[in-house]
Amino acid sequence: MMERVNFPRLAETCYFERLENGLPIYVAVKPEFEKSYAFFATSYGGMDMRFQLDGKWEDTPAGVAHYLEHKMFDMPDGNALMQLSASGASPNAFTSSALTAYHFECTRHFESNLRLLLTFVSTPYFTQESVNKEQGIIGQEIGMIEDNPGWQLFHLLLEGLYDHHPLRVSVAGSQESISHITAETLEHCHRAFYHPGNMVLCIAGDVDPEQVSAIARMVLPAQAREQAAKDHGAPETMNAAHFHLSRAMEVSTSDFLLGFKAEPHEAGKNALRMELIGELAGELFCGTSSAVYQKLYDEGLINKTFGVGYDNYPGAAFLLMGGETDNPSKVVDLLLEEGERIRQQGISDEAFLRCKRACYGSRVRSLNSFEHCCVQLAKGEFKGYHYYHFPEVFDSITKDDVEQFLNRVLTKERAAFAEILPKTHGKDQL
Amino acid sequence: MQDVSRIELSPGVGLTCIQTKKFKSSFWSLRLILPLKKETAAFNAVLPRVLRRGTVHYPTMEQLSAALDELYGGVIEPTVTKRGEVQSFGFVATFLDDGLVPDDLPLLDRAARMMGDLLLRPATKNGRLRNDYVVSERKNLMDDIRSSVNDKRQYARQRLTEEMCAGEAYGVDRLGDLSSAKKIGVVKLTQHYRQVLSTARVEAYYCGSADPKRVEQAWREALMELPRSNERCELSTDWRKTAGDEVRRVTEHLDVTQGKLVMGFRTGCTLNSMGYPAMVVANAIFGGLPTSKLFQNVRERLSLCYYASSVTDKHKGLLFVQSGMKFEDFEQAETEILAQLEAVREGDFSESDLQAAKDAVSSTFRTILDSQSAQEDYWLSQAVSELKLTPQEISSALEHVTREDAMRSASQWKLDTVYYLKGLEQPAVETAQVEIAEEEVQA
Repeated sequence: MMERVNFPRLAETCYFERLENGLPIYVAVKPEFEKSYAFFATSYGGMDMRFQLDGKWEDTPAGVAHYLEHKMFDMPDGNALMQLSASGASPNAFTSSALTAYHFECTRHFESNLRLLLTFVSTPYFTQESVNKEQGIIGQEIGMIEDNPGWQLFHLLLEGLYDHHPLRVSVAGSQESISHITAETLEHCHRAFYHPGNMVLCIAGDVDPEQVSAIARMVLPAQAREQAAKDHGAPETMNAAHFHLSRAMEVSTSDFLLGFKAEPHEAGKNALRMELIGELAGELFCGTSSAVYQKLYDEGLINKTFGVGYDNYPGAAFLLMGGETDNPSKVVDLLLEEGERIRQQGISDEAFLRCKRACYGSRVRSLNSFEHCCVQLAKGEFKGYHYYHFPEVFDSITKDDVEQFLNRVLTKERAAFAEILPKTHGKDQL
Repeated sequence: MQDVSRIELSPGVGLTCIQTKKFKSSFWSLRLILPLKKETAAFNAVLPRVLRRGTVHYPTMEQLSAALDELYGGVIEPTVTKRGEVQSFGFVATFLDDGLVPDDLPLLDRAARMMGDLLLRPATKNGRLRNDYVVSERKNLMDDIRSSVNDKRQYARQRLTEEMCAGEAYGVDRLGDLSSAKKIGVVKLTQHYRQVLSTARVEAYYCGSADPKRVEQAWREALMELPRSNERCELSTDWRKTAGDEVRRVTEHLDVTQGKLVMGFRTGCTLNSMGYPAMVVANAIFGGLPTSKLFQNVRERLSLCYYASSVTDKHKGLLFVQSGMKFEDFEQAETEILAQLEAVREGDFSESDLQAAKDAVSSTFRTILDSQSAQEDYWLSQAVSELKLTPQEISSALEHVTREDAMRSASQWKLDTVYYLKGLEQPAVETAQVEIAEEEVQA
């Protein structure tokens, strides 16, 4: 039976059950909505290149998790993406550094669509011929993302922050790395990570939770499998690997990111606490109501594209901020200066309470998005907490928590600065 | 259940109110609705950005942001849109829904007041808008206009529109152009602001859990000081222009690695036409979906394009085919796109293709009800077209479209202009960049 839990502060009801095969299922019930959304994810992403299978360590090429995601849609009787589209659903998939997810949204035939989703993700069907054919398609995709300034900028930042953490490696890999991928590689990765105990199923919509768990029981293997161990290398020090990395591209305005390395998260409920502290710290440091944001905007150094956030992965966490500017170095100097000031002077009670309200409100509002609900529930499951407990975790955070975080993190040793500058053409310099 | 009410708050001021408990937030908008014109488009585009810098109460962005943070991280953003030959500008906002506010202090009245203040009580100096705000937002606007060249897909569509509708207001971009943006100054902008405030049609919107009576009251109070003159801006979209006998072809060269081909058709059919549902279905069969003919044939079967899709403008009665490909494939791609259109016209699609297209578009309309911003967008279009059809009504009309309706609709689409974006083959400098470079020298 699925267990029903009410979250009155969020006006949400969420059902949960862990099947005998180890699969956790979350169903966020959304009355009156036309659409339903299903999200089936594995705790396996671009950074999990080295892992143990059947007692043996395997090293796989960069980009294999993403490659596998592309090939999962192949079924003995056709392409699952086309089958879902033909029944009116909008299916898609993505691979991030720590997670691969398959999802669809639909207004009709939810149950048969769900059956198809669970079936194709749990069916490895790779022929060498189709794996080879994919090289060209993924090669083109790699070319396109390498041309994307936002992607380049983020990767420069990761290279600046980290010395050897696998986060530095592109999720899609390179033209060269993917050329080593075979049907056998994909089959090994699927066996290591695509078993119910390493996955999570999250549903949002006006659906019957018992039907969801019945379908999952029917389609997925009944037996639990052992978790595959992953190796992400030796822990990183807290110092950034490089302070400044720069690249020229075809853009009209320069763009920058400044990152500060933070302590990796512990597993369990504390992980959510650390995430919320990091987010609050970022807002207090240079969010839209901060003094430094106002100063930079007034001086025309930043525009509306400026933003701040906090990101975390297994073995890595960091604060990052940036946007378009005509003078990246000057903005970075002013931000570092402000960081020092905050470390000396701390933050006011008033600002702390105000930002806490703002971050809380924004988290609650985000639950409008079915995708957001499911992604957060899935990430929480992999890290060891139920995401819908965030209001109580927010309550427990004090100004002292945030000040300690800022004091630790906002130092030049932990900082990395990445920028994309416009290519200078002869005629533009006239 | 959700209830939609549309009322007139005062002459030329409409309120659309949707009461629902589905969402975690309340969603708001306040827009001035004006004719799209080359001379005023940039002025209208810069105004909400200048107004968003500060009010009498909260003269700086820092103070405004702090006040919004206090309201559980409310967000108010400037917005500018183009609907056919109508431009609208103002603010869209989202707040935590009153049902979920922890300390039981409803946000409703405070949110409405902030929206009203932003439009009606800006920070001023010597009776004018603040010069420093005007200067800095003019720069931001000009940067945005210039950066339109960064996204080549969008840029190609915009250039086709400019060429195809050169003599029509529709050719003007929603942000205006650099030459009129350069004319923005504090005196002229303040004058313009006062004038549009009293003459433009105004549309207010709310979607959330509050009682519509309370919403109406909150908006009335917030807009109490809105000046109203008897003169009202005329709004209309000239959509009847049919394509000329000869197709116009425009080629441009930029430093790009992938070519873009955009084709502009006149459909003669708008939201107000009887044939609108048939056009939506025909477009879905032709190029509006991943299961459409364009995607299936031009991209998947022939691998001619990296992308190929079609989209309609329901206000102006146009249809655009957008695609990206290798330079040497232009001719073949164009031939194939037209062949696919011919196939739709001749009814060369299966019953299940038709049904899949109808299911997909009717589902799109029904899911509008699942998003507050999609509903705002939907009701703005309805208001601009002076219609009151619900998404459910359109959704069921779509389900009644027949094969013959769709064929007939596609037969009426007439190719007007084709735009090619190619790479730099020879040293010949492309016109677009030269114009921009000159503007920069003068600015």
